[in-house]
Parts: sequence; structure tokens; C-alpha cells
Amino acid sequence: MTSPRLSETMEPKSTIYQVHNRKFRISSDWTISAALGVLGFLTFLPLIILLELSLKSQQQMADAPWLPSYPFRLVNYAKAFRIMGPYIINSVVFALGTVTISFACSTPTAYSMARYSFPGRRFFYLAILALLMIPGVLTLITRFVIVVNLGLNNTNFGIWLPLAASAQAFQIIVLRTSFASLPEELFEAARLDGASEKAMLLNIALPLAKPIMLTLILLQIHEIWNTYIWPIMIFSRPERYPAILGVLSLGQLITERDPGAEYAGYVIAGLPMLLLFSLGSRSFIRGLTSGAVKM
Amino acid sequence: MAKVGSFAKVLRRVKRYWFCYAMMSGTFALIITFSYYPMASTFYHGFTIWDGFRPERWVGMANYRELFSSDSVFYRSLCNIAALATWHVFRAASFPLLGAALIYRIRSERTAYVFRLLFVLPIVVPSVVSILVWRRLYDPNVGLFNEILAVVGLRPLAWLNSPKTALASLMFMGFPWIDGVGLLVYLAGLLAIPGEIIEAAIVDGASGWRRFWSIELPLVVPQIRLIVILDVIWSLQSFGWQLLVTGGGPDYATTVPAWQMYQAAMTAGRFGIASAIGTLLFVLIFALTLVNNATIRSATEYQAN
Repeated sequence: MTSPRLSETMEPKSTIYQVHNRKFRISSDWTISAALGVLGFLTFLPLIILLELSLKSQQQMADAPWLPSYPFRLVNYAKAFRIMGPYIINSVVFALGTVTISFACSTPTAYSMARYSFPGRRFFYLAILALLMIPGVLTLITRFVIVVNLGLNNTNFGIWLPLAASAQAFQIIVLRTSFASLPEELFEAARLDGASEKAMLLNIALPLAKPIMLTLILLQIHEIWNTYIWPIMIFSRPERYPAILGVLSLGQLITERDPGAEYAGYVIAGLPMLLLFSLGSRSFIRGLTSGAVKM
Repeated sequence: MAKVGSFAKVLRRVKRYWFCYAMMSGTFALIITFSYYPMASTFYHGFTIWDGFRPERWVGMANYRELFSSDSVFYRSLCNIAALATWHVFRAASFPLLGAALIYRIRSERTAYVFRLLFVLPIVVPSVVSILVWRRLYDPNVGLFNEILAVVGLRPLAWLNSPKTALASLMFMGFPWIDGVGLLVYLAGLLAIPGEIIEAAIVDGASGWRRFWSIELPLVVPQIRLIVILDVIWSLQSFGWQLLVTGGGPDYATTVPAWQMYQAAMTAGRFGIASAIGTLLFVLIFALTLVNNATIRSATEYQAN
């Protein structure tokens, strides 16, 4: 969303800036870049430290705790991966199930609200909008009681259903807007060609909503990956924990006199998100700024 | 008679659009079970003594009276969260905006893009991992910060282990506080400023600073309000540090209402008083959300102008 605007405003601006700079000799790209570089370096410093700690043996860590030292100990990653593997699988199962259930519910709801004027449509949409007013902290404790009463604690459904419920409001609001913006003529033409209502949803609306759905899915996976308080509450056995809680069990590596491997485990817990981000950075950025200038 | 007629008409339309209700059934089953019912349950159980599973006992305002009794830790919690929230207001409004304003001034489109990506990239770091890495940096014996203090010739601090510095340590986390999402939102706001306005300012000889204070800052106020509110609402609800590292200590220095709520229910089994704390937090957040909605509306209005 920002990129076309970026090029629009950049072009006239740059010529003005040149005139301006020749006159006043104020900051050039270089000084600004240097300032941003320093800020960027400080932002990344903890991560840089994490990376170099993850490549050290216990001896190297004792000799030079904060500076990189050679040789890099890649075996740390193999060791950490053996511990993190099952937790990553748990996280992937949580993400796949939650995304599937969320969209199986939110897409038809959004579509019917966008396309049909059934009695009570306004009321139902307000019931969705009102969800935005319910903060997670209000329902956390009683949700836990419900999940236990339904016998869903210690099961995948205990993750899938509540997280899917939390995602409904945002997904429905965004998808409804997207479906409602499709031109009515598209559906008229399909109707004349004898398409059923179901075919119109599957063959017209869904393919056109694909980019926005991709953005929603990426944002949701990112959120599920970062969920840790809820799994601590509903799982009694740590083996069921997601990857970002799996890092807590890496402490055992320290007793094995291998502290570097613990940090390697931290890195491994974040790698799937890095992968996701590199595959869809454009969608990510579009999603994160969606509330910025228009909603 | 007319009423019966219109009722029959509605019924006919309900029958005609029956599939719409079927299509919405999944969503409403989910949100009634996991959002609306728990919300009502929290409101109600705030007035009861409840262990979560056996029948509750109605006690009226007793839970709230206990929270606000004179020797209550809850006051400490409120002071801490007030300090944290105030800091979040300042931090969300300033540092990401500084980053965005700097990127906005870069002429090369590619350089601007690279920096934008650079500051967003940390969102891939899982929250638990950043907490654990910062805990390591704060470590009084082997942590980086004490090492730096030693190099500069200052006395080491206990950081998270001292009641005096624990809360400040939580606030310092994330230095230099250039949050990627905030930066993106501010940058989008800056880029939406019409080029002619900037042009006019430059022709009039406005310096970089002057342009920031007189043009850019006033025009991104909607974005600032949005980010500040979202950040504060988030900070009121989060208790990750307390759960994973500090446990609210030392000496209640880092305890916050959300953490007290969690402990009351999950450790002490006092679901009634936990519900009361949840309700109080809701009232606070609800007030802020109303402000937030007004903010979103004004942001849209700005866009329309």
C-alpha cells in the first residue's frame, strides 16, 4: 500500500531537497543514514549478541563473553534442534488448526454479511464489532474455566477453538469490506450464466480476496507463534508446549555444560517466523499498517 | 394487523435467506462460547467467592473492598502499571516517530526501503526469546550491562534483582525503542502528507527541524494517537516478564494488576477476586478503547481531506 505512494512523493521531493541542500547545506542522505544505522545497530544489538553466543562453546563463553570468537560451534544448533524439533511441530499443528478453523468460520460469515440483506444483518455485524471492545485480559480466566469444563484442556482443540474465536472479529471486518467492494456486475454476469450462489463464492469472491486473506493468515500465524500464556494455562505436560515455550526446557543443556546450545535454541524458535516474513514481507507490512491511514 | 403482516414478511425473508444464518453459525458458536459467555461470567463472578469449578457464593462488593483495603498489594500494582503506562505513552509517541521522520528524509528510495525493512525485521523475534535475551543482558554477574558499567568505572547494579531498579529495567528493555509497527504507521502517515505543503515550506526557507515541528508532527497526530492507545492497551494487559522471570518481585516491585489476576486464579484458586481484577482492567481499557475509536475516525477523516 505504501510503495506506489512512496514513488509518487519521492520524485518531486528529491529535486526540492537538492535545491534546499545546496542552499543551506543541511543533512544529506549520508548523515541521516549514519544516524539510522546507529539506531538500527542498537536495535539489533541483543540479536547480534544472541547469534554470537549461540556459536560458542562453554570455554569460549568464559574467555570472551561478549565478543565473537572462532571457531564457530555449529554443533550447538544440531543439539538444540534435537530438543526444539517436537515443540516446533506442536506450534505448526497449533497454527494450521487455528488458521483452518478461523477461516472456515470467518469467511462465510463475512461473505453473507457483505452480499445478502437478510433480516438482522445489522445486529449480527454489531455483535462482531462489539468484540473489539472485549480485551483478552477480561476473558482469560473464565475462558480457562470453560475450556476445562468442556474437557478441552490438554487437547489441540483447547488451543484451536479459543484462538480462532479471538481472530473472528478482525478477520470478518476486513474480509467483509473486501467482499463488499467487489462490483455487483461481476455477480450479475455470473448469475446470468447460471452460476449458483455457492459457485459465486468459490469462483469469484474467494479468488479475488486471495491477497487480503494471505495478509490475514500471515498476521494470524505470527500471533499464534507468539502465544505462550494460554498454552501454559491449559497444558499440564510441558511436552505439549509450543516452540517459544520449548526454549524454557533448553536449560537442561546448561547442565550438560553446553550453554551456547541454549542460545542456538532461541534462534531456532524464531527461524520459522523469519522464513514466513521473508516469504511475505510485503503482505506483512501491508497488514501491520492497515490501520494507519485508512481502516 | 399491519404488524402481523410485517412479521410474516420478515419471516418470509428469514426463510429465503436461511443459508446466511447457517453460514454464520460457526462464528457465533465460537464467539458466544469463548468471548461473550466468558465476559458475562467474569462480570458476574467478580461479586462472588469462586474456586472456578464448584458453585460460587455471592458476596457483593467484598472482592472489590478487599482490593482497595488499606494494606492491599493492589495499590502497588496500580502504581506500577501507571508508571509503565505513562512510559509507554511517551515511548510510543517519540522513538518510532523519530525513526520514521529520519527515513522520510532519505532521498534514495532504495535506502529508505532497506531501513524500513530493517526496523520491521525484529517482529520475527518471539516475545519469550527477547525477554530471555534481555534477562541475560541484565544478569548482575555475567550480564553485558554490568560489564559496560565496569568499563565506564561505575558500580554494578542489581537490575532485576533489586526492588529499586527492577521496574526501570522492564522499561529500559527494547532500547532504543523503535517499534517496527509504530514506525511503519508513522511513515505511512508522513508519506500521505501532500507534497505541495512540504514544497511550500521549503520555498519559505523552513529548516529541517522547523518543518518537523510545524508541519509533519501536527499532520501525523492521528497516527500518534492510534499507536499510543494501542500500545497502552497492550501494556495494561501484558504480564510476560512477571510470568517468565520476575514473578512480580522483588518485593512486589514489578507486580501489575494483570499478573495479580493470573496469580489469584491459577496459583491461589481465587477465581472470584481474579474476575474482579479482570473487570477493573476492562473498565480502564474500555475507556481507552473509546478514545481509540475516536482516533481511528479522525485518521480516516484526515485521509479524506
